Amino acid sequence: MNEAIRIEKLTKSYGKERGVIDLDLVVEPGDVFGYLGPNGAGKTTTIRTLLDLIRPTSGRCWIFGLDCQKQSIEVHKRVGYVPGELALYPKLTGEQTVRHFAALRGGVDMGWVMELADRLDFDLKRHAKAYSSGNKRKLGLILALMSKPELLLLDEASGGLDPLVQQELNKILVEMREAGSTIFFSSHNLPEVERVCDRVAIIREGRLVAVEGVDDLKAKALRRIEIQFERPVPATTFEGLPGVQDVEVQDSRLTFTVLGSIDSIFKVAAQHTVNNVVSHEPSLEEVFLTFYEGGTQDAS
Amino acid sequence: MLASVFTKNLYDMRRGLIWWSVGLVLTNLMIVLVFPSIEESSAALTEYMNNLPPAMTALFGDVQNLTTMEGYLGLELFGFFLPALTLGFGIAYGGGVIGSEEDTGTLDLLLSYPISRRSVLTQKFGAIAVFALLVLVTSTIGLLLGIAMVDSTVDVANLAAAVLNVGLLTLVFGTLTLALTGVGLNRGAASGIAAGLAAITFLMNSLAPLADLPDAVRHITPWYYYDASEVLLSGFVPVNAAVLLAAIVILLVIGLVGFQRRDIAV
Repeated sequence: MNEAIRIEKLTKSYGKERGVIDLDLVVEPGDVFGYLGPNGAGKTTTIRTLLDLIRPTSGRCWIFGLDCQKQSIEVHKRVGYVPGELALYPKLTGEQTVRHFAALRGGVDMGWVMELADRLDFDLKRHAKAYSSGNKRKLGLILALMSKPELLLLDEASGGLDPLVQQELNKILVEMREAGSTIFFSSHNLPEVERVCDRVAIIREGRLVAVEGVDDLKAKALRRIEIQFERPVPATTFEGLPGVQDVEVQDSRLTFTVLGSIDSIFKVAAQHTVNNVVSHEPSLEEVFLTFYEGGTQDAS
Repeated sequence: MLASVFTKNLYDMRRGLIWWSVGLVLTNLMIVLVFPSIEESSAALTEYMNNLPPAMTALFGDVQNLTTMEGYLGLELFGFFLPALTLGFGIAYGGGVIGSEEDTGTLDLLLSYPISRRSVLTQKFGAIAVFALLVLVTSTIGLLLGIAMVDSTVDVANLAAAVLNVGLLTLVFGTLTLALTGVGLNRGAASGIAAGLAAITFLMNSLAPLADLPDAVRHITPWYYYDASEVLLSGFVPVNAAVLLAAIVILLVIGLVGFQRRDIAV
């Protein structure tokens, strides 16, 4: 049993509130694994159970073969964690915070901490209460990354980061993966998960809906596309194309939904004069409604 | 200072340490400096107090002893005033051990590190015990200075024993608050219950004899074993201090077990 994460029949209920239900999930070492679901789906519950911050109602989970409940200290030595709702000690500076938590790990490479701070454009000298939410998140990332953990649990970790920093973070994550780390990345943002991850589990209302490769997910990508032509173009021009649905024409503007590749659409559109194209990424809910409504698939 | 949870918590309490020490030193000095005038008028005071209803004297102690420093301190400082103040920080910090970090959410991050819940709790408890010790030692030095200033003397061994009892009583109620947050109560509820119990048990212990309640009622209150006024007059009672110490240990274990078993709130 050397999977990075193994979750078996995990159920966590909070009275009437939903947690997670009968969850089975395996993450292999070296995976950059996306954990995708809308807010309140059970992502944070899963991660906090893995860290033994909350106890399962039933079921078990392991990290690198270690029981998350019974061997939590051993598990914690190998895991870096960024909480979704990150709270820091307001009276400590960034550097003091790093030193305190580093001491709890028995010390870390401070050179690496400085490099991380530099790359994430983070000033360690200020007090935590003076940090913006983006800066707090950077400090949270530094704390999680500073020990070069074998497994990173990131709960909505890149929210509030500006795009450049987010890019740098993605680079760091790629380097970590190349160095052998496993990354478990929870998010409610589909494009973000597509950019970063190799495999994705989709969770909704506490239940695992699907586990897929990112490429498969992309093939299922549903886009709403709007093309503004110079002159009106009949709907029939596009209606027969693969994956195209719901074609609507309004004067010279044509809108439709397309599943998967958009190549054939542009080949056809190019035969006319195109003034503008707008593509809308689907919301997670739309993806769920289109593909996963009703049934659940086995996680494997 | 940030190498462990224990030292970090002491570091966090450094301002409180200064203010509580200064406050208690001033309180102690003020009370001691009033002693000469009380001593002078003790005859009149005795007569006045003798005319008060027995319930009042039961609450405030036996006025006969006002003529000696030990008796005076037992009545005016150790009988109610000093423990009421120290219980204030005991309950506040005891409730904060888990409560404040859980309220702010830092507990989530802290417990994701390779450190057990038991270790976090005992280190934080240790920080409060050291805090109480430092505050009480400082304020007792202030008290001894005041006693010297009014040209009086006190039995230092008895005073030390009484101060020890104040520390133990403070930790009993502090650990009670800690235990209540350990089993899942929020900080406000835990502090309220602990403060309420401190007041009720104080009244039970003081008024039981008057209300013709069985003596056993007093024996279940920490104040009975605390009895620093008597310790000042007659010396240390190891059994009583041991009972308070046992109560602290039991409450700490309840807190640990409760905290070990429950979910951490977000």
